Amino acid sequence: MHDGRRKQDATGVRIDGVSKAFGSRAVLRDCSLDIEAGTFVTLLGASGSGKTTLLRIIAGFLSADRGDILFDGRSMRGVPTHRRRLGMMFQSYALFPHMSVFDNVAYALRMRGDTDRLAARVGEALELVRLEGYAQQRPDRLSGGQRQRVAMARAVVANPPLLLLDEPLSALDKELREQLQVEIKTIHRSAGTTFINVTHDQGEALGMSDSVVVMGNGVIQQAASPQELWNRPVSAFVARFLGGSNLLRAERRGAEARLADGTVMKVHGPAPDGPVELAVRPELVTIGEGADDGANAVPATVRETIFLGEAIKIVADVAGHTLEARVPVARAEAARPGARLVLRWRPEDTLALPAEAGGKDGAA
Amino acid sequence: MISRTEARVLWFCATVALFYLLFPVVVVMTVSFSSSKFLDFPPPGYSLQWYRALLDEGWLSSYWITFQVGTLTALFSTLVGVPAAFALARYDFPFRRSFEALLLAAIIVPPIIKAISLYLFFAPIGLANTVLGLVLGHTVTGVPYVVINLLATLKGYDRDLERAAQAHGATPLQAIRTVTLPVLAPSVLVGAVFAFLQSAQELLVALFLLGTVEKPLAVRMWEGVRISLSPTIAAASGTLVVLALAALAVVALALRSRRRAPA
Repeated sequence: MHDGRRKQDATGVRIDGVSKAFGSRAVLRDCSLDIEAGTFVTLLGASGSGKTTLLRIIAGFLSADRGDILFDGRSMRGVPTHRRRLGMMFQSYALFPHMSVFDNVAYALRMRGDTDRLAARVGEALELVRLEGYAQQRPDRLSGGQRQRVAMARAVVANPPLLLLDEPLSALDKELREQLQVEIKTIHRSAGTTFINVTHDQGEALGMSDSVVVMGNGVIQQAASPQELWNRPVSAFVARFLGGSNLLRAERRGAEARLADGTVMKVHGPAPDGPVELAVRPELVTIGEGADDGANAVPATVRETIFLGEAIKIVADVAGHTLEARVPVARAEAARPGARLVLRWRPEDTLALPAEAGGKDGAA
Repeated sequence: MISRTEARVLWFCATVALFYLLFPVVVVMTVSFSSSKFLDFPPPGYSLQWYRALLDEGWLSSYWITFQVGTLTALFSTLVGVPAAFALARYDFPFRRSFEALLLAAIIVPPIIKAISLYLFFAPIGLANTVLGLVLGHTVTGVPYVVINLLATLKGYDRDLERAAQAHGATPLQAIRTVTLPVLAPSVLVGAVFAFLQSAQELLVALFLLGTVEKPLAVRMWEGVRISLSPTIAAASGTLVVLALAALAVVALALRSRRRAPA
């Protein structure tokens, strides 16, 4: 579509020290974040993390107790939702049940008095989401995936420079969800506008976004690209929430850390000396005695093996912890339940992270 | 699954209950077409003479009064009930639950107590023996019907609909006008119909607040029954049954369109 024109029309969003409480419950605490125009940013967190509240403040449905939201450097304080030039998608689709698909999509143009070439533009939007033949249908005649596509058409028809996605995929089943992830990404690429997505699904966040903002307890825990988040989580909280990592409690002293049973290993990572959690990704663990190459090597007892197709997941007991390894099938012959073997991983793959209060051992 | 015996017992009970509920209506409807001068059952022959008798001036004015009072009651009940339901569903304020209970009480209070207290309240301020007075009296009972109906829908109403409207350019008022109200309209209509029906069939409050100067339908029927047992009363009842059936049809249609809207 009109690529060149639209690429320039994207909103840059700055969240500046935003706090919000409902009664005595602090939902957001001093959140600051810069969202560059044209990027796809996902707020990722569990329920109660504050992600939805933050999105609603950006949309103008709620106002911040402290702090401000700026669009392209302009304060949004006192600017009502309908003048923020938004498109928005919801978990519940939020299609107007008393209107046809056409009228639902046209709504975003009519309410803005932007009715030039109305029918043609609604048609284009429906074409974009592959629902050309459905203009006169009522939403209740459509499937969940089709409804969310109508909602997508409504959200983009007016070419808003900022699109807000309030968990739009979480009501759909896995297959549809993955399909729509691709479609939303494609639309983002061609529109070139700013997308802010909210989800509790780590895979969706990492897969769709230019940048992921992990939220927990009303605080922004880490904002980074998916790769950086995956490889360099800044805290055990983030590693645990992203999932998949082994987390071992240890006591750090310099470049070494001691597990509870006395095993010592070499570590990297940002945590200062003292109690830490060591994050080790299962796919970086190997089996075998090996040469003395400086790797961390620990004796382990295999508890269970799980065949994953291209790899085998080994669940083993290591120094009083449960550890997961993901090993190519050809190299996992020795792994049988009850077998004793040595698990190894490199010191640079052993991330010492600030321990989370009350954190637990084992794979997250 | 239920067994054959159970099915038979259920069928028998349902038939008895239905017969019990409908038999009086059937009798009245039959008598209303009677050719006799008395309330004989079964009637010796059939005619429309008693419906023709309803066309006399007194009866017509009763229909007119009842229509006026019922319509205004439905209107007032809606005007008060809709904002009340919104307040109860969306805001938390002190004694919110008490207000909700109080509204229900307006339906449960014995009509004779309502009639006497409304009369004592309205007489000194000049509202007794006026159409407006009776409308206000009936509105007391009409409001809860509107509130209860709308409250049930509002509690399941997806606020994201309003948010979606505003996100896509509607002012808050436009969002309510173009989305919220149309979606809720069937529920409001059902409440208004109930408010109208309860007004049209109500006797005691009507007797106290207007009965000495005008004769709403229920009052005229009551007086008719006391003085003469002519089948005109049966014919008037017949028209009320038809009115109730029509209202039921409206409600059914409204509910069907409400069900089509996803909650």
